[in-house]
Amino acid sequence: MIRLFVEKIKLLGNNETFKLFLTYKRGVAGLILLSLIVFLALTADFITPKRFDEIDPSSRLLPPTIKYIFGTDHMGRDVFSRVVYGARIALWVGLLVVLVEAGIGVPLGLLGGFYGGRIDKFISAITDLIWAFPPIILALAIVTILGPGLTNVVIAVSVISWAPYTRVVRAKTLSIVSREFIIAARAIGESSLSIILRYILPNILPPIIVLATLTIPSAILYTTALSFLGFGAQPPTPDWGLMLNEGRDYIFMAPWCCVFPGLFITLTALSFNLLGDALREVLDPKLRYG
Amino acid sequence: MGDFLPRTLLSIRDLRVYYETIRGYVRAVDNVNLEIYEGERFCLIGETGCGKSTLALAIPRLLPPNARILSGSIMFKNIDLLKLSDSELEEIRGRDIAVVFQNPMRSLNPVLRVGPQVAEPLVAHFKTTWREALVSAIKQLSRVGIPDPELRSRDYPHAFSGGMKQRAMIAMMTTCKPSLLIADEPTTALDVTIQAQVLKLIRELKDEYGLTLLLITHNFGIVAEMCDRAGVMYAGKLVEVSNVVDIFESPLHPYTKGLIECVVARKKSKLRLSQIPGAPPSLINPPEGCRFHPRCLYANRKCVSEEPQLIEVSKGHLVACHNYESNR
Amino acid sequence: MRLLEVRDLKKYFEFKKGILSKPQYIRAVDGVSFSVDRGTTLGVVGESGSGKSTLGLTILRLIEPTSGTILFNGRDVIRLSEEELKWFRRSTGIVFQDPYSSLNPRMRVKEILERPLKIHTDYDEKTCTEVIVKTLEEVGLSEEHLMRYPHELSGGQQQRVAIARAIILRPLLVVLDEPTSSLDVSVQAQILNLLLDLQSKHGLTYIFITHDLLTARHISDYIMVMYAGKVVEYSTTREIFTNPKHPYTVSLLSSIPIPDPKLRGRKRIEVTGEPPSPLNPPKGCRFHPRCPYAIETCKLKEPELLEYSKEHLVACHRASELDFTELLTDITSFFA
Repeated sequence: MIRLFVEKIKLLGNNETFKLFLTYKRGVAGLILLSLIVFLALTADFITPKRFDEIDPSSRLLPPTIKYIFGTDHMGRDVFSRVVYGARIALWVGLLVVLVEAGIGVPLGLLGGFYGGRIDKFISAITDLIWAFPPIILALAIVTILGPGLTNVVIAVSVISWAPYTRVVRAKTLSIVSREFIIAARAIGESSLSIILRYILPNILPPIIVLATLTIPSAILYTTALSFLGFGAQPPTPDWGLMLNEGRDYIFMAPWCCVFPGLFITLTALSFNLLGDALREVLDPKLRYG
Repeated sequence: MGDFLPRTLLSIRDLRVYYETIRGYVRAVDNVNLEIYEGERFCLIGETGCGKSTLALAIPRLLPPNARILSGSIMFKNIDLLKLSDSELEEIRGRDIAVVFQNPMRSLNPVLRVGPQVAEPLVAHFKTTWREALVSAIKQLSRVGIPDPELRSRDYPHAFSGGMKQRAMIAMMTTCKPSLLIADEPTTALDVTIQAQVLKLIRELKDEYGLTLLLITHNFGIVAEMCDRAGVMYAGKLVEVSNVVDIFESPLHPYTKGLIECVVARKKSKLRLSQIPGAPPSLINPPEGCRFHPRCLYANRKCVSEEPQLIEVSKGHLVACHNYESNR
Repeated sequence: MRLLEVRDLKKYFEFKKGILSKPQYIRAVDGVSFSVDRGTTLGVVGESGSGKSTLGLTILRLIEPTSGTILFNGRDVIRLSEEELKWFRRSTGIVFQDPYSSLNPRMRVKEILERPLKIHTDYDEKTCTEVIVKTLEEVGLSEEHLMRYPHELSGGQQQRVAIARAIILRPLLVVLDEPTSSLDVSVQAQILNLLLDLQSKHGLTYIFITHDLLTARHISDYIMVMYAGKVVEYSTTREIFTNPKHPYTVSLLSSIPIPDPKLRGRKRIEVTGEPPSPLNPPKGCRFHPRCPYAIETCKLKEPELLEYSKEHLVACHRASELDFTELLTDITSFFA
């Protein structure tokens, strides 16, 4: 198992695309930053001195010290521990949102692009309709109906942001569908489903990956926003947005309660953006000359 | 005709143009020497990747950004083009040296009307007024066979068909009556009947303006119809130069011979064509010695180790091959 | 034995300029009839707008015909059941002009060639691989190419893979749409030789679509010349080159650059103008605006494709009067 992994890494090292990627300093920076955050999330249990919900009324609102690196919040909880566990939530939620968005958006785009005609018009109409709504308002509407909680936040954010996937996938599908290898596939007798899965999808994967990488930050930002507004995670969940909300009242006397979660939100979003930008450039020209 | 020695218009010496890529340097033009005489029609022949376009476009320095001119000189009317600055070269381009491409949209701007585009070189190089230049442009459009030129000069390029766009580009490039016209596969994208028209137009303009023609093509039919002399390129090198009849009837280089024999028309129906085994080499790491040796039926030890130089073996006939004698 | 019979085939594409304007039609293929015998090659020659590529795709039902009949091995292609369609796909193949676009960039050669086998047969892994390797060798490639991606192959190699894919199930008919036009001269020769070898080995029938009369001449038994969606002349290759009867065919012959410098100053007919717009072809004979021999009738009445002599059909009102042999003496000697 480990050997396989090591082999893949070695392949990656020889892989031209990877080498090209390494020349994009910002992308590499993004990757490193992201790896750090992922590392924190994974090792949360080991590196946090306290549990995220350990209350200690005697240590309320303490500034950063050696014992409490990021200080403590209004309930005496260690901000650092909470931020680190928060990373888990943020990443997990971000990933989940992207999976749901893509799960809705990609098939719709494929169907619209491949079949064209009325199916395409219908799908495009719905996509445009949803896209035209001011996103936060729509999200708020959804969580109001469904009720608070992270699951519902995931649903709400996915609904407001699957449109870009459909758009991109549809456009890319349209550009491929008239190419000769698709006609050739029909000539050898491939079924429509087979053509979509074997011929179209693998060829539009790079833009989807780039899109996914770039929508994770906005997913994280939306979910933290909703949590900030009180619709998402409920206390004592160490959700960064929730932490911002809770720390709001103490922003002048104990800014660290907001600064650190805010900083991490920014850094996480930034790392995905840098990574995504670099990926977009690395993967695209390869498509062109490859 | 007597001892009439043609004057040299263009003299390329030791030219090396490499492309910088992630994988290394692509040695597109590797130490090429070539003379083009005034008033002649010269064809540069070769297959994809042999360097013919790079060689031709190095003259007006219209190469892609990753091209590096590593050495050599290109003497044009006693000036070394490679030593000129960009602005000095801009003056020569359009006025003395014109280029016609395979894709006319490389020269035509889709958001400008055709008339002003054809007129522009006159304004830029001869400082005529726009009004005068437009009049000349319309005349030029008519000369290249575009019907209703005044009306058409107000059209945008997309309203023109492929053949007409090509003619418009030719009009634009010849308004200043340049001395050298470089045509890089000018008719490859055109239908056969339109191709014949455009080639005829180029021949006529050449005679009318007394310009020198450097034509790049891979089509032997075009070579036979259009040129007096031809040069064959392979893997970045010039391997044979001769007058056009000798290229067809007594080629000396094995590659030229092989290529001529491949040309479809020359064999009877349904008989097998000769073929050249193998494929062109990588230009990043070309073979040692003669670059053609891995595919050459006549290769010997010398061919593998020593690169043959392009030498004149009979009047006007140059070849780069160690064994040309036995190839006669 | 007749393998393919096409009668009055039409393919029109609808072209709407706006929501409210009347639909216009691009008459890509406008009433084409011909037949092809088993084991022979029909060369379909024409310039852009002639409809030749559309014809190729329509015959294989990769584009649905607007009207007409296509009989393949006696069966009506347009009215095939699903199972029969599968058989039809298995019995036909297609090769395109641009080899790179015709291969899935994300599939390795092995997968590309496996697909037809997986769809139409129940061969196990081992047999599949055997068949694939055998076919690769037939087209001049080898086992080492199995795991390559298309972009790792040269143009010629890519085209060989495309050919392998077309013949792997031993089809009856292969449609080739400009299969050598994108390739270098030396590679063209290799591929044409390969196609000839495969044809004699497997008794294949080819429909070879091209704009290059010289290539068509080399590989075809019969040549069909198309212009603006219609057939203007059909005959044996020899007859087309030695005794063409349609002015358009003659103009094509006149226009081809011939690789012999001595023929440079030869007599030709000059053709002016351009191929017509497929939206609005000229009334009467579609070639009349460009034809140096056009008379009044040509502007009014469309000529029918009629038999001029045995195995020689022409669509020209003046076929019996016009004689081009004098005009073409120079080239016929080249082609003899």
